[in-house]
Amino acid sequence: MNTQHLKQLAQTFGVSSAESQLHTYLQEEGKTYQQDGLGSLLTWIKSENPEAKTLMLACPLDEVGLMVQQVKEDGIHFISLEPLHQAALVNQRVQILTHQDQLIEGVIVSNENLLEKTSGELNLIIQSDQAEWVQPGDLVGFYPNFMETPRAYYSKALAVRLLNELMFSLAQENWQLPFHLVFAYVAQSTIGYRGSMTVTHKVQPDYALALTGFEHQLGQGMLMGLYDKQLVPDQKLRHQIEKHIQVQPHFGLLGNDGSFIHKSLAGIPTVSLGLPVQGLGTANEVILKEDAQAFKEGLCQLLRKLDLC
Amino acid sequence: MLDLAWLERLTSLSGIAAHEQEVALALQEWYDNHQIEHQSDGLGSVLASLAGQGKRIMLASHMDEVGFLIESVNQSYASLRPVGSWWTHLLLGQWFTVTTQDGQKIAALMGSPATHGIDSKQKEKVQAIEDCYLDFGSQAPVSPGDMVVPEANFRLMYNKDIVASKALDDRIGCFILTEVAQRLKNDVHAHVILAHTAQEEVGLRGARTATYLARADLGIAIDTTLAGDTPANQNGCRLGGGVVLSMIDSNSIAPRWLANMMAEIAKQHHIPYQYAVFNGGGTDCGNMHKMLDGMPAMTLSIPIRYMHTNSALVHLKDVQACVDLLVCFLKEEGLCTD
Repeated sequence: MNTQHLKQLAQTFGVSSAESQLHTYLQEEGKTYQQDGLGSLLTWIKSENPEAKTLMLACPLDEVGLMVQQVKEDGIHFISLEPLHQAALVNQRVQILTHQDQLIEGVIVSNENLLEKTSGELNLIIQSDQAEWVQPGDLVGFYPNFMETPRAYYSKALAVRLLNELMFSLAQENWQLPFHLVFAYVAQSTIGYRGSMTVTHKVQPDYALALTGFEHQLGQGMLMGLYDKQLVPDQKLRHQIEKHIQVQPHFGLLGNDGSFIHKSLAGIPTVSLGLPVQGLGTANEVILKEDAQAFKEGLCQLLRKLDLC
Repeated sequence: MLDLAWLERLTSLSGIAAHEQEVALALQEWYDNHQIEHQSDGLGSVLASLAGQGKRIMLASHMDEVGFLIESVNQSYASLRPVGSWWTHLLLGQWFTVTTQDGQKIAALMGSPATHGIDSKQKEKVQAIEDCYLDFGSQAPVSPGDMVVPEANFRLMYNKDIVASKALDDRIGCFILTEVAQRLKNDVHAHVILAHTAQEEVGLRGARTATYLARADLGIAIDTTLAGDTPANQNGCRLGGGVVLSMIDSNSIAPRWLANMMAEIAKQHHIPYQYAVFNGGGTDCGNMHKMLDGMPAMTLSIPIRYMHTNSALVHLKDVQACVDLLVCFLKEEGLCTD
C-alpha cells in the first residue's frame, strides 16, 4: 500500500459531482484514460485476444457530503446529499468548496447548548468566518484528517480512497490476462449509483466486481456481499471466486455500485467484494492494515485465476 | 412579448401520463405552423429540432399533468386512481373534467362529506385518497380508464404578471420551449433539440426515451419548483425573483461548471435569477443525466405556488427570465463550435 498516495487521495475534496480534483492523482503519465458523461474515470488493460470477455472492477470516486441551502445571519444552512445521522455531523470540521473553487473552513454546530440539551433532534448549521464567500449550491465535505497508526488507517472517505489507491496500484502492474480488464472509478456513486449506470453503458462489460466498504467487524479480511436490498450476487461468479480465494460473507441493507451494474444493459453477472470498515460514512472511518493487505492480495490472486471463458 | 393566448391553450388541454395526445397534437401543430421539424418517440414525447452548429443541446419539459383515472363507476359517482401525487386536503369540492374514450368532455365535482354533523375528530383528519369520488350529478357516459384532470381555469391575477391555472407544472415549461424556438428560429446558435416529454409525473419515463433519441451533449430540463414566499411555505425562492438555478433534487445534482456558466450568463445579460437547493422532488434531469454514457444536465425552474393543485401561480417575469437565459445560453460561442 502506497501510504503517501493514499493520504494524498484521502486529503482531496471529492464530494459527489466535484470529483474532478481526484483525477490528477489517479492518472499515470503515458497511459490513456476515458471518461463518461458524469466524470467517471476508466482505464483499460487489454488482453492479447481482441475477442476476450471484459471484466470491470468498479469502485466509487465520490464521498459523502452536504450542500449549502441558504446563508443566513445565524449561519450556513445545509442539506445532506446522502442519508447521514446527525451524530455523524455535529461538531465536525468541514471544508466548503465555493463556486469560485475556493476551499474554506467551517464547523457544523448546533445552535443549542449541548451541555443543557442532552437528547433529541438538533438544529445543525455551519459556522464559518468566511461565510461571505459562500452561496447556495456550494458543496461541503468533512475536513481532511488522515492518520496512520502501526495497525490502522483513520480518515474521512477512507474506504473509497483506499479502494481508489488499490485500483490505481493494480492498474500499474503488468497484467497478461485472458480477459480485458477495466478499472472504473465511478462518479456520483455514493449519492445514488448514478455513474454505475453510465460506466456500464460505456464499458459494456461481460462481468463486474463492485469494490466497496462494508460496515463490519474489523480483522475479517476480504468480504463478499451475499445479500443487500439491491443485489444478490451472480451465483456462478460467486462460486468461482470462492473456489480461488478466501472470503467472509457479508449480509447488509446498503447497496453499492453492483446494485445498478447487474441490472444494466441486458444484465451483467456481478459480485460485490468489500473491505471491513468501522464508521462508514463518518468523518473518521477506520480500516485495519491487515484487512487492506488481505483485500489487495485476494484481488490479485483472483485476477490471475479467474476463468471467464 | 409572451404569447398568453397560447399559454392559456396549452394549460387548458387535458393530458395525464400516457394520455398526452391532445398536448402532443397542439405542439406538433405549433411546430408545423412555424416550419420547425419534429418527431416522436415510442412513448409519445414530441422532439422538435433547430438545426445549428456545434454541440447538441437537449431542452426538456414534460407534457403530462397530475390527474386521475376513473377506477370504477357506480351510478352518478366514480372512484379514482391518482396518476401523479396529490394531497386529498386540496381536492374536495374542486371541479374536474373527464375525457371519455370517444373524446367527450364531462364536468364533475369532487364529492365531500357534509360538513354539518361531522365530529371534530373527523374534521382534523385528511380523507384518504381511496375515499375520494367524483359526482356527475346524474349518470354520465364515463367508464373505467377515462382520464380526469382539473377543470381548465386560466386567469390573470390582480397583478397581471401573475398567472393562475391548472397544469402549469409543466405546461409552462412546454410554453418556454416554444418561446425559445420562436426566438432562435432564424438565428445562429447550437443545435437544439426541444423535447416535450411524456410520463414525467409517474417516473420520468419519457426523459429516458427522449434522451435516447436526442443523443445530446448536454441537457437542460425546464420545470417548476416550490416557491417559498407564502405564509405556509418559506424557502429562498420567490415569485418574481427570476429564473431558478436548481442545484439539486432527489435524483440529480447540477454540474458546478454548468450552474456557474448559467449564473455568469445571467449576470452578463442582467437576467434575474435565484437558487433552489431541495433534496426532494425531481425533474426529467434525473433520468437525462444518467442515460447512455451520461450527459451533463441541470434544471432551470419557474417558482410556483400551489404545485399539484387545481390552480397554481407563476410570475411571468420568471418565465421571461428563463426564456432570455436559455436564448443567451444557446448562443454562447463555446456551444456553437465543435
